[in-house]
Amino acid sequence: MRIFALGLGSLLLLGGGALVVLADQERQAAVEQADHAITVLDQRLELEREANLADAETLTALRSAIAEQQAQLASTEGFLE
Amino acid sequence: MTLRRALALFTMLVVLSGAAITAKSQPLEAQRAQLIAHAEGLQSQITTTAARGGYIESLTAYHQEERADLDAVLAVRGDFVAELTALSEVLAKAEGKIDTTTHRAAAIASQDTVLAERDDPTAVTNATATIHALTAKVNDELGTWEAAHRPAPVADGPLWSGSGPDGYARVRAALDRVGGSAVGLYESASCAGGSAPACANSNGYIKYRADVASWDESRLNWAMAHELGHIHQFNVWGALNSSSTYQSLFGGDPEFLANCMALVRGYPGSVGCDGDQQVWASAIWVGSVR
Repeated sequence: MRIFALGLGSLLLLGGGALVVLADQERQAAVEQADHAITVLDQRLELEREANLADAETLTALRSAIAEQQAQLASTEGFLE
Repeated sequence: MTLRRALALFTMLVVLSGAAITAKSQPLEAQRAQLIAHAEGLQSQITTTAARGGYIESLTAYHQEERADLDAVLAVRGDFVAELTALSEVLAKAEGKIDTTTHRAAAIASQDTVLAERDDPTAVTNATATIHALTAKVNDELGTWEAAHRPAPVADGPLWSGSGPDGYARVRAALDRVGGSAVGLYESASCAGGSAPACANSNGYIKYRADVASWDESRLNWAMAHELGHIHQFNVWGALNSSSTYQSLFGGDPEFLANCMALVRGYPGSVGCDGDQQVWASAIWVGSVR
C-alpha cells in the first residue's frame, strides 16, 4: 500500500511537472506567433499608407486641373458687355 | 530512512522546478498580452487607413466625372465665342441704323446661360445656335435698312437711247409704282446678251431693253416687280441660298422666286405659285429669309 501510494504520488508529481513544462512551451509558441502576426500587420499598414499617399497625389492633381477648367469657364473674354 | 529522504528530496525538486517554470511564465504571459494589444492597435489603424483610402477613392471618382463634364463644356465654348465675335461685328455695323436693343439683350441672356453652365454641353451648343440666329437676323434687318437708304445709283452712260425719254419715263413710272423708287434704272441691250427683256444686278440697278417701254401696263408692272424682287433677293443673298426651305419650295431658282414675289406684290405674270410659296416669298420683300 505504501509502495502503491508512493508510486502514484511520484507519477502525479512527474505528470504535473510535465504539464507545467508543456504549458510553458505553449506560452513561448504563442508569444512567437503574436510577434509574427505583428510583423505581418505592420507590413499591411505600411502598404495601405503608401496606397493612400499615391491616391492623395492623384486627387490633388485632379483638383488642380478642375480649378484651371473653372477659371477658363469663368472667363468672359470675347463676350458682349 | 533513505527512501523517505529521497522521496522528500525528489518532491522538493519537482515542486521547486514547477515553481521556477511558473515564475518564468508570468513575464511571458505579460509579453503575450502586450503583443496582442499591439496587434489589435495595428489592426485598428489598418481599418482606419483603409477607410480613409476608400474615401479618397470615391472623391477621386467624383472629381474625375466632374473634370470630364467640364472638358465637354469647354470643348464647345470656342464655337460660342466665335459666334459672339461675328455678332459683335454686325452689331457694330448696325450702330445708328437699326435698333439692336432686343438682339443685344437676347445675346446677353445666352451669355449668362453659358457662363453658368458646368456640365451640359448641349446648353452651350443651343446658345451658340441662338447667337448665330441673332447674327443672321441683325444682318437681314441691316440689309433691309441699307437697301431702303441706298441712294439711287447713277448710271455711267445715258439713261435711255432706243426707248427715248418718254419710254424711259414710262418704265421709270412702272418701277416707282411697284416700290422701286430708290432703284437705279437705265436702258441697255446687254441683259443676257440682249435675249432678256430686263435684268437686275447686285449693285442696285435694273436695266431694260428698249422694247419693254412699249409693253402694256400690266406686263410692264409685272416685269418691274419681278426685277425689283431680284434686287431684294440680292439684299439677303447669303441667307437665301443657305435656306433649305428656299431649295424645297423654289428649287433654289431665283427666277421662280421673283415671279412669286411679283405675284404677292400684286403684279402676277404667267407663272403662279402656291400658298406656301407666296407666304415665303412675301418675307423676302421685308428682308426676312424664313
